[in-house]
Amino acid sequence: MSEIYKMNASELSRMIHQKEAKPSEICAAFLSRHEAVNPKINAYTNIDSDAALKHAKELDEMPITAETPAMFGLPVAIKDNICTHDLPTTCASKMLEKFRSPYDATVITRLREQGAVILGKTNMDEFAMGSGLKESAFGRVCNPHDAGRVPGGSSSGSGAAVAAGSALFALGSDTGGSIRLPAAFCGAVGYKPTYGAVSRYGVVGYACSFDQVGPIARTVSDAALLTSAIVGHDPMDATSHPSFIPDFSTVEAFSVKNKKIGILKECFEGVSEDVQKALNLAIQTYTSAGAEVQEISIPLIKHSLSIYCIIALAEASSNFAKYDGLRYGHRSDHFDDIDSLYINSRTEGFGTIVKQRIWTGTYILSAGNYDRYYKKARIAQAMLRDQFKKIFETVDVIFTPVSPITAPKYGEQLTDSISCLMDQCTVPVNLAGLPAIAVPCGKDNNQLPIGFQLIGRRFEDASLLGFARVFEKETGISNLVAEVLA
Amino acid sequence: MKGVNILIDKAEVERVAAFAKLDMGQDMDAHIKAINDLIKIIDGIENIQLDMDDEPLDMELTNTFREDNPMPSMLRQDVLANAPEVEAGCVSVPKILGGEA
Amino acid sequence: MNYETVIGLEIHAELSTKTKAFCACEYHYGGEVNTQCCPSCIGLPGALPVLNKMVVEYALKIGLATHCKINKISRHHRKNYFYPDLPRGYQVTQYDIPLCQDGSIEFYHKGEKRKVRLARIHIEEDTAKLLHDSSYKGTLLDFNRCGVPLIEIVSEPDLRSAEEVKDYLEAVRMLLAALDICNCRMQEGVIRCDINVSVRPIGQKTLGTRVEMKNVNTFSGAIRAVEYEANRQIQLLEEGKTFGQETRRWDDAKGVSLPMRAKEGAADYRYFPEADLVPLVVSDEWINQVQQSQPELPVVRYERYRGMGVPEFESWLLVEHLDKAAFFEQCAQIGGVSLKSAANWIIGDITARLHKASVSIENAPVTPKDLCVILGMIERGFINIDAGRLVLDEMFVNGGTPEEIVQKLSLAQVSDEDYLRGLVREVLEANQKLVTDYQNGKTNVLAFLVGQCMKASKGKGNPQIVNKLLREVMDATGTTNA
Repeated sequence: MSEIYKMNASELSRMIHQKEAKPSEICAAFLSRHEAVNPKINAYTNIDSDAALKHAKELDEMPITAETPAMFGLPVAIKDNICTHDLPTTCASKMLEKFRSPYDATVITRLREQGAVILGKTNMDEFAMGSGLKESAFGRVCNPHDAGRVPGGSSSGSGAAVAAGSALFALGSDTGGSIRLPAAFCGAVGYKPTYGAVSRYGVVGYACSFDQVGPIARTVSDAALLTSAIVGHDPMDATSHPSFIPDFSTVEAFSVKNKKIGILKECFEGVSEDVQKALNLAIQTYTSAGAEVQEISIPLIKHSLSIYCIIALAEASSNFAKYDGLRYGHRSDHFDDIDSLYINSRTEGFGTIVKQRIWTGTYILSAGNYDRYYKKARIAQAMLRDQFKKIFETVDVIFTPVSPITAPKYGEQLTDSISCLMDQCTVPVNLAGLPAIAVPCGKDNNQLPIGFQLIGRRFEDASLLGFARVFEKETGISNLVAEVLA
Repeated sequence: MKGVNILIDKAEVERVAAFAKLDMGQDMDAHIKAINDLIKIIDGIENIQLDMDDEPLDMELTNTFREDNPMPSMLRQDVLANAPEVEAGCVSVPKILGGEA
Repeated sequence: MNYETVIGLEIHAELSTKTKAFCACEYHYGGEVNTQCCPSCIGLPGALPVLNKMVVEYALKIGLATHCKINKISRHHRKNYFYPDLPRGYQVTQYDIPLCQDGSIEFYHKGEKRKVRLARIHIEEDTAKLLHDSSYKGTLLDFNRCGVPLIEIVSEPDLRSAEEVKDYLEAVRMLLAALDICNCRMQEGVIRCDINVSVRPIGQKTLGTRVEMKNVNTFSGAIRAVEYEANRQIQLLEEGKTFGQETRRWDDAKGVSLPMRAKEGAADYRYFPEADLVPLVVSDEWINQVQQSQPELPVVRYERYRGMGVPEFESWLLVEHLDKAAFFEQCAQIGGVSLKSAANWIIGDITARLHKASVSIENAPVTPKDLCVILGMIERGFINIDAGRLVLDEMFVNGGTPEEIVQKLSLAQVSDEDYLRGLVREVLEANQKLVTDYQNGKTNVLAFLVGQCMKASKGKGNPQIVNKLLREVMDATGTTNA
């Protein structure tokens, strides 16, 4: 038997059900891997080993029956912007450093109900703002494949932990690529479900219109397993779809024969040579499996970052008004009156990037600017949605890179155009509310993972994962657990 | 102020920061640079040929209501658990004079 | 110069739904501080709002009752500002597309029907309560009221005086009560308003500079606020001073309006769509369903009662008290008696006795049928009014039907003229001086003499016949003497 921390969730679930492994053994394996690698990657903000192990041991004692859920006994790492009542929820910000949510997010409640073990909370870009290029209040997360490189963000800790073997799989949140980018940089599968598929209740919001929780996992099947446990209508979230539940049982047998894949032209700008090579191989894999490939164009993609920033920052500026130092979170020691309490608490509590984005969102909504920015962005967003809808009349799935480059080094100065292009492939998906998945498809010359992205039709998450699974089966590329070299 | 290529200066940063209850005074130059970079991105909206005049409503999902059925509220100790300062069962803030906003 | 005051009102009324607007917390006024709240209404990270369907239903009721156009598609916005009573840093409200717009409310002012146009009625949420006390170290926040549903009824500037404002507010209150969507407990501050006041020389077409007064929590306060503010503005104009558009705060205790503390820069609420909620779509079926369950509106009911011969005062009292109105309606259905008297008895004699006995009208020992029987006996002259009241007394004390009581207490009115003439003679003999007075033209002594005769008949004499006989006898003797 190979080491537990290198195995995937589907195997471990099968072993628990066949009583070949105990939840506590699995939990202990990941905890000890965590202890070994965390000093190098810093993937977690908070972990309570004793509590996790205690819970796993309780599960050991429970009978395994035909009704025992697939999630039973499996450890899950949770991005630190998802509320848990028994561990702090910090959003990796000084603002919420000591905050402990009195309630569980709906996704956490569902995981607990199915016997999952909450392993710990993962580090992230502060309040999910960023691409994992800067450090949070809890320090820098390192890419397990090369500690000098960024893990991608904002679900950086979730991506790094899965890739380093210190998590079996993890929940992340994706507002503009925050699941897919770290998955691609760390060599994991990252899946953002259709907007409305997974409850946002208890997920600390960045941009209400775009936020969506999803898995970072070793394999497509593992991503489906974890998503199945959390998906479905939540009456506590008005934007949760009342009836949509993807049927992932179709994923394994999915065939791409005669299916049409659109290669989205606009997303291949600035792609590095190594990345392009890996993408070409991936495309070839699909054609060999019987899919038809055609080039497509969605002209508005070029402008998607403008549209995205306007809406996301406007919403963020308002969402972040609740952090005022009154009821919870950081309260400054220096104030004379209510106004200075507000200003000093917020100024001290938020990091630089967060402040700049709140500022910009406030600017976008301030008198006179609504029509100039926000209204136009909403119109453009509707146009982009239409363009996607039209394209999906001719193709079944859209193929793009996740990022034009592999993980850059910490401190590496990226040109403006490259940092924009890094988001250009992921943000249109959130603008259109579509499901998308990042799939690892090889490594570059520096042994850094490369990922491609598939974008599906709204609510066709199951066939999207089917497409991804076909690649995995055909190539055997998955589960790129890094050795984490010093 | 009007025009496509407006430059956000210190005064403008301070004016808007006041609405957001932020003090951008520290690292002002870095803020000005970063903010102008963001403004450059959002000003890209000017380059889109819009095909409608009115802001559309996303009608994919409508009328997700709750029935008027009560659920238990939180315990007061949980309401106050994270509060930096508590007095007489309430969150306490510096004395406020005058009326409501 | 003479001035005209122009007034518009924004009325905020708390809806009496069981739970809050966007979460499942119950709210009861006066509850222990911070015990009626949840992650959503106190703005904890990650918590979300979900709209209470009943809030929409209640808003539709008031919208339809005020002849508003119902927007089939509306949405919610966030109004962003920092204040300790606003936990999320924004208030969820409706902005560009309210649920109801372009309506009107009719009401009576000094006996005449008036109409105030409404710009809009929208749904929004209430804020936390700030507790100030010198014994506290700080200002305290009680979040119980956070998220309680409000409707805001925004009128056009169609009111012209403080008295008119009072009647309009009363009409709105009565409407909310009739629709059963607000508990209307004024002492709990469930109806509050912001008042826009401007003045202009009579005859001037354009409106004067508008001043908004916030924080007006009682109807009497509204009257004082309008009077104070109109006088203040007139005085400024008389002194040749100009003033700008501003927002002032009404201090009811001091009876003055004060400028609001100037904030840095002007307010900028940065309204934008609330993306945690989805668009609100109201179907024709829904509108019809609400329309069909609407009760009769106060003004309509008032006019119907007036048409039935009930005087103004009694009509309003019945409109105001739906339990009494129900009693009255049953009397009207039974019929055969004067409805004016029925209303009068319900509001006067019956209410007084109910009050004394601490009984509600639904549990009164007198049924509408009983009242009709009593009134019928009076109208037919079988008993007199005093006897009718004795019947009521007896019903409240010992019960029984009116017929039984009349018999038991021998209250049947005596109309036998020979018997009554005997009584009249006796009374006149004992009051010779008054007879002389009467004959000398002091006819006002008649009432006293009627009373004396009624007393002598133990209340059973028919007062009309007694009156007639008194005149006959005195006029006859007078003529003889002359």
